[in-house]
Amino acid sequence: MRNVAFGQYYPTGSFIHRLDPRTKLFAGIVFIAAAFVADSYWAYLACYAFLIFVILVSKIPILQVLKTIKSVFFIILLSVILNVFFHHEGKVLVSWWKIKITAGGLLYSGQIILRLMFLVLSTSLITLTSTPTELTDGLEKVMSPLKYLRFPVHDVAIIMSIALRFIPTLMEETDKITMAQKARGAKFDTGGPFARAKALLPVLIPLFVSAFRRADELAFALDARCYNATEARTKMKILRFGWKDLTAFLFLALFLTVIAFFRSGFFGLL
Amino acid sequence: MKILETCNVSYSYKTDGEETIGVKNVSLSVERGEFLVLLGHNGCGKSTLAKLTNGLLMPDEGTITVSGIPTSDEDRIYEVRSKVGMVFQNPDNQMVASVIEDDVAFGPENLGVERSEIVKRVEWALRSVDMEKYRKGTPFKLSGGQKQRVAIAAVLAMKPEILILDESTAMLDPAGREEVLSVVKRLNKEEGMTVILITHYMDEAADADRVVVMSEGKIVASGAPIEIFSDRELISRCRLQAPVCCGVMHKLNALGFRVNPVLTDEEAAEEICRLK
Amino acid sequence: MSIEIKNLSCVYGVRTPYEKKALDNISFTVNEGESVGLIGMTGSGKSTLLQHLNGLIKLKSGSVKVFDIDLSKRRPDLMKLRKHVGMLFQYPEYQLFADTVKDDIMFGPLNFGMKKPEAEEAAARAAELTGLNWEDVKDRSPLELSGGQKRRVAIAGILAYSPDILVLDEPTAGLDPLGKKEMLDLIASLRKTTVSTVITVSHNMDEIAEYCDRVIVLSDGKLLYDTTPAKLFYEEDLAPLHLQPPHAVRIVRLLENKGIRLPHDVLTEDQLVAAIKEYFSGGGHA
Repeated sequence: MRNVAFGQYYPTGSFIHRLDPRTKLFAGIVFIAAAFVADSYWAYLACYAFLIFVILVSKIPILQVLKTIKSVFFIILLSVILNVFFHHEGKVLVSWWKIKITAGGLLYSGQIILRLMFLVLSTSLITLTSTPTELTDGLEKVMSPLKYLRFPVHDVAIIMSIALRFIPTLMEETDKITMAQKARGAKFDTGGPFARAKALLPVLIPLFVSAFRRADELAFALDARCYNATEARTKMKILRFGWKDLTAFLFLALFLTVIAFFRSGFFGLL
Repeated sequence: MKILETCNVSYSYKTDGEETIGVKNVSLSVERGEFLVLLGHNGCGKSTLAKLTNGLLMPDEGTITVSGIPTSDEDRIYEVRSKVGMVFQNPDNQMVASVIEDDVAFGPENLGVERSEIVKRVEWALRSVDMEKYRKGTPFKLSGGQKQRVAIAAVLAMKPEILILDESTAMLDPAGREEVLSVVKRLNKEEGMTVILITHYMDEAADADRVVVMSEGKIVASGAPIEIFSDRELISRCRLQAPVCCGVMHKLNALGFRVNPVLTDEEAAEEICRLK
Repeated sequence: MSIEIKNLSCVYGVRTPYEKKALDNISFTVNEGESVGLIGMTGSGKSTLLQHLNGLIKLKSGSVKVFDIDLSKRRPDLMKLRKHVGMLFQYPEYQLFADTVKDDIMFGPLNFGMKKPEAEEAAARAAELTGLNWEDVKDRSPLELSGGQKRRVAIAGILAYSPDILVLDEPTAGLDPLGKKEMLDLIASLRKTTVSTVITVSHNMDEIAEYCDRVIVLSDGKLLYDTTPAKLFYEEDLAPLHLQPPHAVRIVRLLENKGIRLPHDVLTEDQLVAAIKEYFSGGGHA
């Protein structure tokens, strides 16, 4: 089986796992905001201290969380290179031909790394601690006011839920087809980019055919289970905020305050 | 009392101006509480017939009624679908949620059943298929047999009166098949559920109240399993294969040994013993 | 010796909550000309074992040798291995991808280095072996064929590069009774004419009894039995594996309880009928 690196649900039953998904979605927004508000090393230190604390509470092995970085490693690398070479500020450390590396550039790149890593780690913590269903339920709830604008909130939620449900199935299928074609002598790792893209066809075509077949069968299954029978659809699970969520909200507020406090501009005000 | 009646039903598939016959002139009535097995070669129209009975397909000709409701009544189509619970072949292509209890709740949620009632039904349905332990789990980690049991629970949660299994055991290993069949048989015996089982496994038909054989879109035979399986000509004409014990009895008869037709290995042994 | 497997183990998802031992110290050999049935429930490690036979999974512990290709050596020649061992996956019709039957069957031969005309010739020969009418099907899209025909195309796609060993993962799954029979007869005839060594995965004990001369049973990643069908079905208790012995064997055992003893090499319907005839026409009649 394939390793699904980016934020596969990792059950531990911790405090974080049991939070309302809406709280976690909100936390996601706070994380993103924090990553952009933070602009001093002190602020980053606070971010990471907070992150480590959350990981500890979630009881997920730190290595498991760090693995999620792998999937975005190249994006991080690229943005670091761009910033080292093109962000010019302060003392020039290296100057050769048209290339100039400055102390400011290096410092700035360091911040970029810290910022991107924080973004990826904190948001994947959400998917590591919530099941796909919880997340879609949460999203459906958060989006529900859009219903009044005739936006098909429920249909979108169902589509998302089905998409998430089929990711592992299709991954497994991709593996199977890849193996079957390899067994017939297919090579996926030789030749130029064009040859490689062409080599993927024997996998992609059956995969698409199969996805359509599945979609067809699924459509019958949805109908057979009375999908769209009534406007007055009910829900078995009702999301409820509890004391845990309150605690989490307070904690997030505290976190944002700390980050804002460490903002360099803020120090200037004092 | 008839729970399902199809009367002179025909349906053909239309693609690119070409018509292929799905079913032709099919009349079938099913009694409440009956355990009916539908046999036939691939493409004989079994699945088409199944889809016609709960209004997933609409007949070109003829009528179908479920508990007195015609499937052509558009206002009551969801009532028909909730009465005729359908379990399909591929367990992976009929689950919508990533958590088992959510998947089971999907049907009643769609029907607008009240929340407290859904909770009760989900619990009951999962218990009926012996899967209550897994309610918080994800279907992806289950075996084929377990997945199909969840699919049955998902249908039961709509409180159907008929359960149709459209080759639902075809993709399972023997353990999985055993699990699914024992659940279905129990529902039939204990809850009086009407069952239509579509299958290629002849030994699954031995326990049936009635076996219906389809070939090329038509019903060609209907009767007790023993009558169907002792009709060698019918079996070979319809591309079927009788269970081994039936074949043994037939061949012994041809060799001049006087044995009666049987349905199980136990009965076969009895018959052979009588030769002593 | 065609295949030699020694102390093969394989663990998935090491140090995660999903860690699982898929194969646990498996050893066996397959000789040329044998028809081996491989039995095991879902999750028994069967698929992992098959993948090793084609180098589709990295060998971590133990050794796998197919002819002169040793997977435990550095950089084994996987292409050569895959040409030797033709592997038919479950529901192989879902892996057809080309526009025409011809192109699909030629995919393997071309990958293994045949020139176009040569590959086409091989494809035509393979298609005819599986009972397809080459002229009829070669320019048609595989998608418009019937289920049984698609599966034949898939088999032809493997036979076309003349493998020495055929590995078939549930070749009859999803077919109707007659389709199953035709498929098994096809495999039996291929054994006589084309590929003599065949490993077949099946859940159907009647099929195993009729078509295999040796059986290997896997359970929970361990090799439980490696024996003949007669020994397995008459001497071992298969109930814990949720396996029912073939119907003929069941009837023989029921008869034994009633005092009629038939020889323990009866495995199929025809053998049973013959044994009963023999018994009652004087042979063993006590």
